[in-house]
Amino acid sequence: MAYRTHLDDLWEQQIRPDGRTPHELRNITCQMGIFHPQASGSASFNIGNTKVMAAVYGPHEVRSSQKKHHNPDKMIINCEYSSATFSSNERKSSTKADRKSMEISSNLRSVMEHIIIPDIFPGSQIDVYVELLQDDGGSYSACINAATLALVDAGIPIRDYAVAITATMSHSVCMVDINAQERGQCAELTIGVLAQSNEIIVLELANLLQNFYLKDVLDEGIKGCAAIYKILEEAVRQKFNKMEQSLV
Amino acid sequence: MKPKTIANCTRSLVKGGAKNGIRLGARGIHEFRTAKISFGNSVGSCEAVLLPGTRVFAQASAAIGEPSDSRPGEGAFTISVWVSPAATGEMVGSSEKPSAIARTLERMFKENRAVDLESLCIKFGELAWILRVDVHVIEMNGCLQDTAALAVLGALLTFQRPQAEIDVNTDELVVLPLAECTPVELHLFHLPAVMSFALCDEILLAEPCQEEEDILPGKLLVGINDSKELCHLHLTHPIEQELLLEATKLAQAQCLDRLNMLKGLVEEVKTQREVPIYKRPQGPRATGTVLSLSALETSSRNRSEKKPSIKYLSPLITASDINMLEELCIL
Amino acid sequence: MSRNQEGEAPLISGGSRRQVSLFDLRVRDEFANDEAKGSAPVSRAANYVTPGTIVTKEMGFMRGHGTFVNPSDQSLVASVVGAVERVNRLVTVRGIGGVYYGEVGDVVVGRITKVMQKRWKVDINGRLDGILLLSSINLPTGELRRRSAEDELGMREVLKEGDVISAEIQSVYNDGSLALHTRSVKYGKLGPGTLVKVPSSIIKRRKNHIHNLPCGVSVILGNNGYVWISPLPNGRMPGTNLEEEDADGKNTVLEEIRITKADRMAVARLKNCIAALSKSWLPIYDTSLMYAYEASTKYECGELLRPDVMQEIGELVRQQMALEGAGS
Repeated sequence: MAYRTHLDDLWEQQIRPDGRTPHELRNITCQMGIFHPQASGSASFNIGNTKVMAAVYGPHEVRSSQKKHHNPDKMIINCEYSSATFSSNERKSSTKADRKSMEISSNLRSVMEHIIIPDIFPGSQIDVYVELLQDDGGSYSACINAATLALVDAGIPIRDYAVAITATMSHSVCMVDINAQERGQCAELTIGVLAQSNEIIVLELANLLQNFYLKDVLDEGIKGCAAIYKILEEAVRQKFNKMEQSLV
Repeated sequence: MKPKTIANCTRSLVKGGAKNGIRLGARGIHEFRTAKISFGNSVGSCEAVLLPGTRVFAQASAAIGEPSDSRPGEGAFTISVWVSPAATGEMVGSSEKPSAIARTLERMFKENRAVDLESLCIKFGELAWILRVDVHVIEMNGCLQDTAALAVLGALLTFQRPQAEIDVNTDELVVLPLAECTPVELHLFHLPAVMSFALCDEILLAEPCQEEEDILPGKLLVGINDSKELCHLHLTHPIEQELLLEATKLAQAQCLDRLNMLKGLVEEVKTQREVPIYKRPQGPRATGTVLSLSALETSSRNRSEKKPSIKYLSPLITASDINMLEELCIL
Repeated sequence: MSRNQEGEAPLISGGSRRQVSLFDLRVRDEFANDEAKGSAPVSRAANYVTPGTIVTKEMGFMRGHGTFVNPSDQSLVASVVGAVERVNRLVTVRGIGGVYYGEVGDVVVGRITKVMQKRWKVDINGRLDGILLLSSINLPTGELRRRSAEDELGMREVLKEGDVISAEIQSVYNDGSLALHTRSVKYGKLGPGTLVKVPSSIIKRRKNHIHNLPCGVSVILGNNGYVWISPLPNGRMPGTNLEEEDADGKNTVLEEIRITKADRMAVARLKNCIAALSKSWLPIYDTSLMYAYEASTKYECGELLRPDVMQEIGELVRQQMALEGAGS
C-alpha cells in the first residue's frame, strides 16, 4: 500500500526531498595542498556531506616489495582507497580492506593510469591514497575528483581532468548528484568523463536502471561533469595565482 | 609462473582485424559466444560453458545459522569464487581474478537484491538459512564473469532446500528431510545476466576470448536482467557515448536470449525432478545438450556389453532389487 | 569547534605570566576563509593553461616539458598547470611544483637508504634515489688512493642506513638517476640537526647553499627541497673529515660537543620559519630566512606552529621582499 506523503507533493513540483531541483548539485568545496609539504600533492573534495581526501606521493623510487616484478622502463601507479570506519551509517567492524575497497582501489588505479601520461617517469612509482571520511552518496565520484585534484597539485603531467558525478532517473525525471537518502530508492549511475574530450571513462551502477533511460541519464551526467570541471578548474587557477605571486 | 608474452604479430592481427570486422575464431565482431548449460545430480549444481573453452561450475547450498546483527530478518548470502590453477596456469593467490569475479557476482546478486533473503528467515534474529554459492572456474578462455553469472543463476534457480519451521507448541526447530517434504525453492526477484565486451578505440568486440582480452586494452561489462533493467556496469577504458549505448542494446538482446534459454532448461529440470529416481532415464541428468565427454560415457555403457555375473553381488540382494538395478543400468 | 585551548606551559614561556596558547583547534576551513578575505588581488597570467587545454593546433612546433601530443588530431596539449612559454619552435609549459629534477652542480641533502656493493643509495626526494659511489667520497683517513676490498667491507663504518649527508650532483645517468659526490670539505655526513622537507621549487638557485646565519645556526638549503638546520658550523658531523680542524689545531669529537638549550631553540625557531615560508609558497634563501626569523621573534617558538601566525609571517616577509625588490 503506497501512502501519499509530503514528499510526493514536493515531487509534483519537481523538488527533491532535500529541497534541490533535479539539476542542482549540492554545495561543493575543494581545497588543494591539505597535506603540504609532507605529500607531493593533496586535495580534499566535499560535495554536500560527502567528504573525501586524497594524497599523492611521488614519483619516487620503487619500493622493494614490488622490485621483483618491476620493469625499469615502466612506471608503477599504486592506488589505495580506504573508507573510515565512521564514514557510513553502520560502523565498519574492521579497518582491514574488504572486497569493496579493493575493487574501488583497482578501479581508481585504472582511471589514474588513463589520465597520467604513460611512462613519463620510467622506473619510478606514484602512490595515490584516497580516504573517504563521510559518505552521503556520490562517494566514488568524489574520490575521482579528489584524486584528479591531488595529481594536479603534485605537478604530475596528466592528459586531462577526470571528473565524475552521479545521475539517475526517478519519477520520470533525470536527476544529478544523488545523495544517500535518494540512493536507497532509485538507481545511482556514477559517470566519469575526461573533461575536454567528453569520453566516458568511469561507469558504475548501483541498483537497477531501465535500459532505455540510459541515454538520458548519461546526458544529464555529462552535463553535471562539465559543472564539476568548472569548479575544479577554478580551484586550480586560484592556487596557481597564489603561487605565482610569490615565485618568479 | 612467468607472465605470458604475446607476439607482436598476434597483437597487430587482433587489433587490425577488429578494425576491419575480422576476428579470430570466425565470429563477427558483435557476435556472441554459444552457451551451454547443464545441471548435475545434486540440487543447486549447475555448469555453464561458453564455447570455446570457458567452463564454470556453481553449487548452491544452504545451512541453518544465525542471521547477521545488522539484518536480523534476513538470511545471509555469500558467494565464493575459486579459480582453479589448472585453468590459469598461475599459482593460487597471485592474481586478482577471483576477487574481481566475486565482486561482480556480489554486486549483481547481493547488492541488487536478486534473491529474496527475507524468505530465508526462520526465526527473527535467531535462525535463518545461510545460503552459499561456491563458484569454481574449471577452464578459462575469457568472459569469466558472463559464464559465472550464468552458472550462479542456474544454481539458484534449481536449488531446493528442506522446509524448516519453528514448532508452535514446543518452540523447537523442526527440519524435515528432503525426501519427506516438498522441497522449497528460492524466490528470485529478477534474473540478472551479464555480457562482456572488449574495447579498443572505437571497436567493440562481443564476448572476447582470452587472447583478445589480453591484447585489447579495455573491457566493458553490461548486465541486464529479464525486465530489461541494467543491473551491472563496469568500464576500464575510455569510450564514446554512442558506442556505449550500442553496446547496451546488443547486450540487452543477447541477455534476454540467454535468460530465455536458461528458463527453458530449468523448466525441463523441474519436470524431470517430478519423476522418481528409479524411473528416470539412464545417463547423467543432463538437460539441454549433453557435453561431449559424458556422451562418450553413455555410449560406452551400452546394454550390449557383457553383464557382470551375479555371483559377484552380495547375497543380501533379492531378485526384485536386481530388476531395479538392471533398470538403472548398474548391471 | 572550540576556540583556543589554553594550557600551562612553564617550560616554553620561561615563567612569564602570559598564558601560552599551545593548540588552536579551529577547523582548517575557517582559515581558508580568512585567507580568502585577506588575500591580495590576484593577477591572471595571460598564457595560463591547465591540463587538457590545447596549446596549439598548428604543426611544426616541438613539444617541450609539460606538453604532449594528442594522437587523434596531432595537437599540442598541456599536461601541467602553468604558463606557456615559447622559444622559437619549442613550446613548453612552465609548471610550479613537480618532482625534483637534478642538475649537475646542485647541492642536495639526502638520507642513506641502502648500502650496496661499492655504492650507497641516497633518498634525495627525486623520482629515483641518488647513487653515491664509494669512489666519490673522501676516505675518513683523508688518503688519496684506490678503494680496496677492505674499504668495501667497511662501508657501513663510514655511512650506514639512516645517515644524512650533503652532497653535490656530479652527473646524471641515462635512466635519470643522479650520481652524487662528497669530494669536498663542505660535503659529507651531517649531524646533529634537523631535516625539513619543503617543495623543491621553492629553493632559489644561488651560488652558495650552505649558510652560517647570524642567529647562531647553520643551514644547508638543498636544491632538492631537503633543508638541514644545525647548531654546528656547516652542519657537519664532527670528526668525519680529518681536514677540518678548529683553532686549537685539534679535531672536535662528537662526544665533546655540548648543545645548549638556546641552540635548540634557535634551530626550532628556524624550522618553524621555514615551514611558514613553505606554506606561503615563498622562495627560501638566506635573506628571506633572516626576514622570517626577525619577524618571528615577537612570538614564542611554539606559537609559530599556528596557521594564522604562519600566514602573518609569510605576509611580512612578502612585504619586505617587495620593498627590497623595489629598492634595488
